[in-house]
Amino acid sequence: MTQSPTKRLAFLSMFAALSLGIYALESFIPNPIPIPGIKLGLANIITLVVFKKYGFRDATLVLVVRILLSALLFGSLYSMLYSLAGGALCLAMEYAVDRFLKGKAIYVTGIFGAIFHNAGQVLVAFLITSLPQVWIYIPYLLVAAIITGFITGMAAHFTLKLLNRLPVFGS
Amino acid sequence: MSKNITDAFLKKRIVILCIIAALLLISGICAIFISRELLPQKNGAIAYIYSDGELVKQIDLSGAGDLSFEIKSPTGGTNTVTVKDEDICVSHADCPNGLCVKQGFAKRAGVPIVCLPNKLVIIVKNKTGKEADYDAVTY
Repeated sequence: MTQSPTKRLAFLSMFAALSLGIYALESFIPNPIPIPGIKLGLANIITLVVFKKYGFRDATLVLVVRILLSALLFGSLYSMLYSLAGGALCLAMEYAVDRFLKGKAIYVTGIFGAIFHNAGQVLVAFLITSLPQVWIYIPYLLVAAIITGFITGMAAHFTLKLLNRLPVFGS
Repeated sequence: MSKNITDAFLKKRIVILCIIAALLLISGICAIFISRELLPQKNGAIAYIYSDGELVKQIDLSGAGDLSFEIKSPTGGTNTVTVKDEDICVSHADCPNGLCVKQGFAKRAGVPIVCLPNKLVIIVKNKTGKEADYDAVTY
């Protein structure tokens, strides 16, 4: 945790770029389930790693940078709204669960973050379209979030384990 | 000693959250299966097409035969809706992700076809009057 400010800035920029890259790559993976909003959420691995390593504030920063850049590069205003709502709820939930579990069991944190991410997206979908029909997606998005949240949570767990072994990354 | 107590405490919390997640997972799967069970039957289904939250078209799928038409959204997008073999799908759309096209036929997909960018929704319901549909819950 006691990295020098320069090192910290360098790592945070790198993580922001990395999550943007993962986000872009993920959009090339064809969606096997034709339901809007279902995806692996691989960029959340980076958010979780930054959150665990640098804390809530820096994770928010990386997340906002990623969402703004991805909206500018390949998204629209709408996709940015979806990402912002999902990301904000996801990170807030991850913060709460992480505090509750005192930093243990990242996969649980990942699961609840993913659930709230999708909840945020359904909420925005409802606010934008004002179609009550979007609520029908909730069970699908819920099941998807629990599965993908567990996967990304585990991925973040192992990423952190490997990263902490790097001398340059350690505190 | 105190470390052991907090460890047990944390384990309890983790287990509680895992149980909550498992319950959510089970209820989600149940909800999906129930909504699929209540799917409209092959005979006598009516498709309701909503644009921007308003019902713009209502098609009796069993009597309509094969047809195709365009629905324009208030935002300027266009979806081509096709009725075929007593089922309905979006055959073409100018929205960026095209998920509504990928969803295929409404009855087979099991969920309403939704195109978020063009604010288009297609719901298939049974003709029998009683809503054999998840809509009964959501409205």
